[in-house]
Amino acid sequence: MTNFLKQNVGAAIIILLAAAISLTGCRGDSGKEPEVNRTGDDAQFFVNAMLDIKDPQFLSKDSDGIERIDELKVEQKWGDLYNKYEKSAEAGDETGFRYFLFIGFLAYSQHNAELMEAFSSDLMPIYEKDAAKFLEALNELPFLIQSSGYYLDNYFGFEDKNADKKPEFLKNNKPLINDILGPENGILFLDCFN
Amino acid sequence: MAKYTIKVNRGKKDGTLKFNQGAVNVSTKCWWDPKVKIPARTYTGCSATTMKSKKNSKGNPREGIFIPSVPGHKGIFIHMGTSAAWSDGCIVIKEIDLLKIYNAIVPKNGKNTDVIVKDI
Repeated sequence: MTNFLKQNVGAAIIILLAAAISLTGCRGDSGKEPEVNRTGDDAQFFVNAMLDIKDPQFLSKDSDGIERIDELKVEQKWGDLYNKYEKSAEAGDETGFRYFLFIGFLAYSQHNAELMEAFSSDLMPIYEKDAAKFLEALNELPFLIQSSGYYLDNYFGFEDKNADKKPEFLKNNKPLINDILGPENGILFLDCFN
Repeated sequence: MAKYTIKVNRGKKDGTLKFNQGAVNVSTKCWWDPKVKIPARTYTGCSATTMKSKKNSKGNPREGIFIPSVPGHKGIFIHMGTSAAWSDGCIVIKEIDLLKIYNAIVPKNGKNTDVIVKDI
């Protein structure tokens, strides 16, 4: 995990900062409404989470009167964002889908158990809905391969369901995976299915 | 405000979770992902709450006990589950027992519960 983070965290921060600037710039845009109400606030939340920056909106006083980050509120915010972008991804919104994968990357990087468990159930149905689109996104954003692959593999057996379906999944999907991801990214992705 | 205590005694593969509060007495088997064990220690400021990203058996937000300040981990809950396969770091117990504990702890989101995790 550590090496994985070292290799990918820089790229992720650059993407997030660009997203924060871009989305903030779009706020109040009189053009077409996005399918999902995305704001720079979401991207700012992601940046703060990655860089461990204490966001004043989540500060509260503990029983000793000391101001601390309210981790419960932060986790509830993660849950809200998860639901928002899962809905968007399910609806086929391309940007929302990529945000959803990115939340998965952050959850994996930070060992967020609630979100990792949710992705382990919910990501496979999105993959199956449009596997080609899913894999094309991974090919363009290879830093998302390891986290996404982890969740797709974890789907098999998670909550004691679908444990016997992995061989069939791999048999049916390997040609498409190799075709879209190519040799290098394809191996990286398939290695997730241990 | 009332304070509550949940004790988790972990063995090699599973453990026992205990909660005693007035008429509510729970002693039940618990599981966790053996690859992702949270450190054994006392966690203060835990809360009965619901998980926004997971559903219970009725399709409503899944009830849980949120455990903050877990070194190296985020989003750790005690929630429903019937084996280690329900966990990617959380501690799981049967839903019927989880609901007894969840209903006994008031107010919700109260940071009013200690969770003591011990390896035995």
